[in-house]
Amino acid sequence: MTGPRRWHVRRRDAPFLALVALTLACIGGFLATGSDSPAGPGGGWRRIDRDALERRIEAGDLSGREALWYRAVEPARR
Amino acid sequence: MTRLPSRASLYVAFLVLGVYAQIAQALLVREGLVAFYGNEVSLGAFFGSWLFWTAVGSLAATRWQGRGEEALGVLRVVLLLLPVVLLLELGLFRAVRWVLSTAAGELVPLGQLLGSIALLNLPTGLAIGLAFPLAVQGLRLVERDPAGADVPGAVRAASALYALDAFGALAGGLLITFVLIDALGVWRSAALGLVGLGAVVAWLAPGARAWHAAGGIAAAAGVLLVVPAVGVALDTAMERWRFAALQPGLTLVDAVETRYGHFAVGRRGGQLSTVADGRVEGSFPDPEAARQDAAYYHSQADGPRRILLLGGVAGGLAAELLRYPLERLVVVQSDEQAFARLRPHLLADDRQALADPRLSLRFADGRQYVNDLSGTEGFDLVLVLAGDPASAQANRYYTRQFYAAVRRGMAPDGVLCTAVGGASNYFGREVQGYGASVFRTLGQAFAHVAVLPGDTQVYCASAIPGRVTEDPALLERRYLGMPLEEHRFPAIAFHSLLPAEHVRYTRARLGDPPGELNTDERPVTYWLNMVLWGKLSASGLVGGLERLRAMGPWPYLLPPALLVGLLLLRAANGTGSRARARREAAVLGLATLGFVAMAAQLVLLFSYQARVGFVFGRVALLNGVFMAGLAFGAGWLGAALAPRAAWALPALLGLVAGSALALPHVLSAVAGLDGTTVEAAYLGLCFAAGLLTGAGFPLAVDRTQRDTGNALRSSAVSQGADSLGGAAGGLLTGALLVPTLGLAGTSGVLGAAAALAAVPLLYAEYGPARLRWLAARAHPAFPSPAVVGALGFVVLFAGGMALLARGAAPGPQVRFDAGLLEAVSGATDFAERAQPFVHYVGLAPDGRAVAALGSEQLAAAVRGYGGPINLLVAVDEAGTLRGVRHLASRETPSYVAGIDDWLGRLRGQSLADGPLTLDRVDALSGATLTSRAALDSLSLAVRAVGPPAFGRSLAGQAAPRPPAWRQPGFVATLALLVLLAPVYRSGSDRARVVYLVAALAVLGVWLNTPLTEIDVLNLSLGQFAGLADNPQRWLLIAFAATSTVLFGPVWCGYLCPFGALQELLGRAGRLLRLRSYPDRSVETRVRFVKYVLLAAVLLVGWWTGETWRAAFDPMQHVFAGRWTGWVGALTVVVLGAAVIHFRFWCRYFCPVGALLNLGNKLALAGRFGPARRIERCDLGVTHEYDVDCIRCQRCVEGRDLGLPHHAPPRNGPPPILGGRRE
Repeated sequence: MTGPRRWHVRRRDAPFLALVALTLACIGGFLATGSDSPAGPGGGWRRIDRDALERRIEAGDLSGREALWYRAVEPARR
Repeated sequence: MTRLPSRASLYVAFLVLGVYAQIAQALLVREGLVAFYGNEVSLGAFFGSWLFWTAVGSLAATRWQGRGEEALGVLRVVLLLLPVVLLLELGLFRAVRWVLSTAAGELVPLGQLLGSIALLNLPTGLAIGLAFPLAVQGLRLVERDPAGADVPGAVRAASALYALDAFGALAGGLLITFVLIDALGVWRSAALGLVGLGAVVAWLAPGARAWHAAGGIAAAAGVLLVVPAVGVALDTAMERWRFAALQPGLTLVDAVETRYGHFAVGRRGGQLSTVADGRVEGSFPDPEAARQDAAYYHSQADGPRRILLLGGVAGGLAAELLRYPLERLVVVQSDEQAFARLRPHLLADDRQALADPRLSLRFADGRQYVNDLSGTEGFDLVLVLAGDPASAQANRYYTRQFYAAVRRGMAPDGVLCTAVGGASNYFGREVQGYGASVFRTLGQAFAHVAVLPGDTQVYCASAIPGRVTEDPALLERRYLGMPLEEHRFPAIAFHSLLPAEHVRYTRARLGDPPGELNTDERPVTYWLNMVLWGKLSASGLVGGLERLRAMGPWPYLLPPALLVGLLLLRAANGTGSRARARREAAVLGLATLGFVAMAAQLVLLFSYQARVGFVFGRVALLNGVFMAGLAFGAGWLGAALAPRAAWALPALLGLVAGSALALPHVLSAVAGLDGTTVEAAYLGLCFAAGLLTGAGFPLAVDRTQRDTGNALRSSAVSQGADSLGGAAGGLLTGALLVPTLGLAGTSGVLGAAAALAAVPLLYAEYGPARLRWLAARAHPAFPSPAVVGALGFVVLFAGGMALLARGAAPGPQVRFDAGLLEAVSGATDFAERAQPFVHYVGLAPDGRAVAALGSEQLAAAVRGYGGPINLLVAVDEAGTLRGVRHLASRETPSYVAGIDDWLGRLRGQSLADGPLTLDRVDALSGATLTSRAALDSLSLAVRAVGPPAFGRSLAGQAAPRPPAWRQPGFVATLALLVLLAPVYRSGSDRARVVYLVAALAVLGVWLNTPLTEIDVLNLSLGQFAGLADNPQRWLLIAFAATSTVLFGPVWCGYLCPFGALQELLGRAGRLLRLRSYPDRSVETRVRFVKYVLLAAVLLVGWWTGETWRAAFDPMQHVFAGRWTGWVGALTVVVLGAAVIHFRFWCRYFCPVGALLNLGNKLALAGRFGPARRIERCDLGVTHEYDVDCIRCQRCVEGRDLGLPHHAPPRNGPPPILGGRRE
C-alpha cells in the first residue's frame, strides 16, 4: 500500500471537495428523478382512479351482467 | 480475587455449552417452523442465518486477542447471558407474526420471512460464535500460554474444544428429542439452560464471589421456572399468546409439542380446525364435503373393499368411507401423541368409526408403511391425503418412487387418489407448473389418470383402463349401483363436479407444457409449491429463484471459482508472505469443507427419508452420528494429521471431492441392500461425512496459527470459515440445490467445489512464491486493497450471474393482451395465430383487417447500438401502418427517449411501395442508427406478416446499404485512428493537442460516438450492433479494447471526445492561471469514486436489466445538445470544474475511464510507446503500471505540467504532492 494512510483535508481543498459534492449531487438528482424515457406497457407505478372505478361499478359495468368468458351449458341429464 | 479455572472445568463448560447450544437451536428452529409454515425455505434460512451469526461472533472475538484473563471474563458473561437471551428470543418468535401483521391464512412473503429469521437468530448465534475462540484463549491461558502463540498447543486446544462441542451437540440433540420436549415442553426446557450455564459460570470463576452469586441467581431462576407450578403456567400462557398471533379469530382448544412438531386444535363458532406447525390442516365438521369425497373415491374405485387412508382422518372422511360395504379400512397416522390430543375433539361419528372393527389405526410413517407393503393386503383404494407437497418431507408422497411403491402394494386393479391445491377457473404459470408436476409423475406410475378440477384438484389413477374416469354419468351409475342403506350424496352433482368443458381445459393446461417429473432424487414438486407460495405472497424473490434455477449448477460454482482465482492472483503477485497465502487458502478450504459437509448431510437425510421413511428418532440418530464423526475427526484424525497439514489438507479436500462425486453411485448401491444393512450403511455414511469435515478443522487451525501466531485469532477465523461454509450449505442445499439439480447434480457441485478449493492450497505449498510478470504489476492501486478485493469479487460474480441469466433468459415478448393491441392499432377483436410465428389479426373500425406482431421474433438480426429492438407493429391489409410501439431494447436511454412519439408519427405511412427508410422519414433526433434499426425491424415484420395474415406480401425489400468504406463517418474515423500511431509514438504535446481537437470534432461534434457506460453494459452482456449495421462503432470498440490491452487507456488520453473537451478547457484554464491541484491524500481517495461508480453501474445494470441509470455521464448527452435538467447541470459543473482541475470528470467520476484504466495493469506492449517520465507527473502517477495513468503523455515533454517534478520512485515511500495553485 503506497497511498497515504490518513486524510489530510485542508481548508484549501474545500473548493475541490465542494465541486466533488456538487457533481455527486447532480448524479443523485438525475437518478432520483428517474429516466426520461417513457415507461413500457404495464411498467412503473399505477394509481387507481377511484372515481372512475366507482362510476363503472355503479353503472353496472363490472357487475350486473354475466362475465363474457362464461357460456351457458346444457343442464346435465340423469 | 478470581483464580484461573482448571482445565477440566473449561472442558466441562464447553461440553455443557455444546449441549445447551443444540437444545437452544432445536427450540428456536421449532419456533421458526411454527411461525413460518415449516418448509425447507424457513429451515434453510434458519440454519443459514444461525451459522452466519456464529461466524460473525467468532470473528468479532478477535478483539480479545492476547487478552487472556479478559477473554475468560467475557466468556463468563456470554455463558450467563445466553439462556436469558434464549428466553427472550422464544418470546420474540412468538410475537413475530404480530409484528409482520400477517392475517390468518395469509402467507408471509419470502423476503420478510428470511429477514425475520435472520434477525431473530442474531443474539444467540452471535453469542455462541463468540464463545468458541474465547474458550480457546482461556484454555491457552490455563495451559500457561497466555499469548496463545504455541502452534501445537493452539491446535490441541481448538481440536479438543471442537470435539467437546460436537459431543455436547450430540447429547443435546438426543436429550431434546427423546426427553425434554415430551417431559418439560418448550419453556421449561429453555429454563434448564439457566440452571446448567449458571452452575458452569460459578465453577469457571473459583474464588470470585460476584460470579458465584450471578451464577447462583441464574441457576435459582432456572429452577424456579422448571417447577411445574410456574413453568406449566408460563407454557400455557405463551401457547395462547402464540396461537392468537398465528391464527387470529380462532380460540385455542388444545395444543401439544411432540417430537414431530407442534400440533393445535382451534375453534371458531361450531367449527374446529387442526393446525400443524402453524398451518391449518383442515376444519370440521363439513359433512357435505366428507360425503362428496367418500362418494367420489368409492365411485372412482368402483366399490372398493379394502382401503388404505394416509392422513385426512379428522374431517369425517373415515366415518363416511365406513358407510360403504367395506371389509377393511387401514388409517395410518404418523404422530401418535398429536392424535391422542385430537381424539377427544373428533366428531361423534369419527370416534364411533375408530371403534368400528373394520377400521385399524396404525401409527407409522406413511411412506415407510407403503414401502413395507407386500401386495398381499390387496388394497383396491389408496387415499393419499397427506397435505400439499409444501416441504421435502411431504413431497415424499408425490414422487415417482412412492407411486411405484403404492402400485406394488395395492391390488392390480386398485386406484390411488390424491389431492393438491389448485385453481378453480384459471391456471397461471405457477399453478400450472405445480399441478402438472403431480399429474405427470402420477402418469409415470399409472397409465390412466382422472382429474377432478377445482380449488383442490383430485387425481385418481389406475393401471388398468376403464377404472378411473372423468365421465360424470359413469360415476353416477357406479354410485347408484352401490348397495347402500341410503344414497346420501346427490348423484347428479357429479355433473357439476365434472363439467366436460372445464375438465378438457384443465387436462389441456396440465399437459401443456408437460410438468416436471418429481422423483426422490430430484424432488421438484415442493420447489414448485414454494414458487407458488412466493407468488401468492407477492414475494419479489420468486422471479430470482426461478432465474437461478434456469441457470443450472453454474451459480453455485462461480463463487468458489472466483475466490480461487483471486487467491491465486494474490499468492502469485508476491506482495504477501507464503504463510499468509497458506492461511488464506486454508480458510477457503475449511469454508468449503463446512459447505460440503452440511450439504452432504442434507443429501443423506433426503435419501434416507426416501429410502427408509421419515422416522424422526432415526433422523436425530443420523445427525448424532454425524456429530460423533465431527468429534472424532477433530479430536483424533485431524489432530494427528496437523503436523503434516501441508499435504494433509489438500489431500483431504481431494478425498472429499472424490467422495462427493461417488455419492450418487454409493446411494444407488445402498438402495439395493436389505432393511438392517441399509440403515447401517446410512449411519456409516453420516459418520464418514462428519469425520472428514471434522478432520479439516485442526488442519486449518494449524495453517492459520502459523501465520497469525495467536490461538484466539486462528480458532476464531477457523470457526468463522467453517460456520460460513455451513451457512451457505444449509441455505442452498434443501431449498435450491436438491430440488433443482437433484442428488446427482448436487453431488457434482459439491465435488467440484472441494476440488477447486484444493488448488490454492497446493499452490501456496508448492507453487512459486511470485510470478515475475505479475509481481511487476502488483503495485497497489487503491486506498484499501481489502475493500477493492471485495468489490472486485462482487462485480465479477454479478457479471457472471448476468451472463448466465442472459443465457437462460426467455425470448422476446411475442404475446400481447387485447388492451395493448387495441391501444396501438385502433382495431379490435384480435385473434391470436401461433403459426408460422405468433401474430394477431383483428378488425379496424373502417372494416379493414389489421395484423399485429412483435418485430424481434423476425428481426433479431437487425441491431441498433445495443442489439435488437422489439416493436409492436400493427399494419392493415393495404400495407398502411396502423401503429407502432417500442417494447424493449438495450439502446442508450437518451437515444430512445422520444422513440414512441417518433414511432407514433409513422402511423399512416404506407409500406405497400417499399420498406420505410430514412430517405422517407426523418430520423429520431440524435439517434440515426437506432432509427434505422427500428425502421428495418418494422419493415421486416410487416413484410413477414403479409402472407400468413392476408395471403399476400405487403412490402418490398430494403435497398442495400452502401459499403462501409463509402460511409464518410467510417472513413473519417479510420483516418483518425491511423493518424494516432505517429502522434502517439512522437510524444509531441503540440501534435497531441491538434489530435484532441480532431477527435473532439469528428467523434464528438460530428458523429457523437463516444464510448459510454451503455456500451460497456451492452458489451458485457454480449449485446452489440451488427458489424454491417454499424462498422464505425465496431472499429472504435475494437480499437479501444486492443489499444487498452496493449498500451493502457490510450482511448482516454487521445480519442475520447469528452476527455478532449475537458483537456482543452483545462489547458485554457492553465493559461488563465486557474489550474489547481488538490492535496494528494484527498485526491487519491476521490479518484476511487470512479471505480465505485463503475461497480454500481455494472451491478445495477446487470441486476435490473435496465441501462437508464447508467445515463448520468454527461458525455452521453453533451454532443447531442441535451443540456437540460440534472444532466445539464452536471455538464455545466463538470466542464467548469475541468477548467480548474485537469480532466475533472475523467479522473474522479468517469466509469468508462475507470474500466479502461485497468488496462494500465496489462499494457502488454507498453515498451513500444514513448518513454514516459513518471517523475514529472502532476497527477500522482508513481509507477510504471500505476492504474491511474490516462496515457496523456504530457510528462514526455513536460509542457502542460503544473507541479514541480518529484523524485523517481524506487523502493521508498511515495511522494506526497502538496496541493497548491500555480
